[in-house]
Amino acid sequence: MAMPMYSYEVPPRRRDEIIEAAVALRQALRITNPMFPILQVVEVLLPQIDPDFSFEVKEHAELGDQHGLTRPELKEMLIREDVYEGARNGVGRDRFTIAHELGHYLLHNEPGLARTLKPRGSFPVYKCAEWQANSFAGALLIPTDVAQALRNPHAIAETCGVSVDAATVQLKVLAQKGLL
Amino acid sequence: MLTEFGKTLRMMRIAHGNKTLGDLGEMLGVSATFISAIETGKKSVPPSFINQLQAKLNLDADEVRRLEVAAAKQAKEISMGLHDRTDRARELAVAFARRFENMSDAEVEKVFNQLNDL
Repeated sequence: MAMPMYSYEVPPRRRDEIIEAAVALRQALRITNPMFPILQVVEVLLPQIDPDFSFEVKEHAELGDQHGLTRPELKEMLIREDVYEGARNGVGRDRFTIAHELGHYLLHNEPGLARTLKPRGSFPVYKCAEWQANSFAGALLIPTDVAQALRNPHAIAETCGVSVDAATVQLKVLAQKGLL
Repeated sequence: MLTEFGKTLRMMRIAHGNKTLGDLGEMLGVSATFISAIETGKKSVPPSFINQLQAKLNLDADEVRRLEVAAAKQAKEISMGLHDRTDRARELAVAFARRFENMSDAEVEKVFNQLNDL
């Protein structure tokens, strides 16, 4: 989950729109498992839908302190090797990073998209690419019905393969919407 | 970006059991990063790689052929094992390598045809 000081300002999206996009993706791929198969999706399903999409695992030195880097205009998603191995081993934080990058790929892919790198907090959060990608990842990995049934961050973390932190954030989001 | 070889390999690991980079790496005893570097052409295809793929993924002859053609397109150099060959066979390999440097397209086709007739 990248939390840099600067972020791209992108066209605004409401949280509800982003949650709908995540639900639509689950439905389109016919995924009903509460443990979202994030690597199967980016490595096996997406390439069959979009043959030009390129998922690549990079050496630590190549990406430095970036866990992942998605360039929709080049149709590529680069993931740092330790993050990739973590995701393979079911580490919640690393699974979230890949879902976050998938959010960038799907939400921020309009050709000629107006993007400006600005200090975080200098523009509304719903225009922030990082916030949008995090919102997408939370909704994709934690289905609302699962959160409603479990209501406990530790149980959600276990069932959905996310960190306790991510589960706590998603519960807070749903509570704010009156969905819990 | 994936090379033609990368796309062909990806297609085959998906067709033969929905294998991810990490799954295939585990089967071949290498890292996911290494497989990925081959798919993007950052690393050239190791000599025995296609044979290993054939064995592990149960590829048929046509699939092997497609991988070989695609691998040739991203090869920057090749190495040949000369162990257990006669002096005469080694001489042929060296002579070919030397002659290859200034071989015309027409000559390449001619040698190709002769190879296929062997």
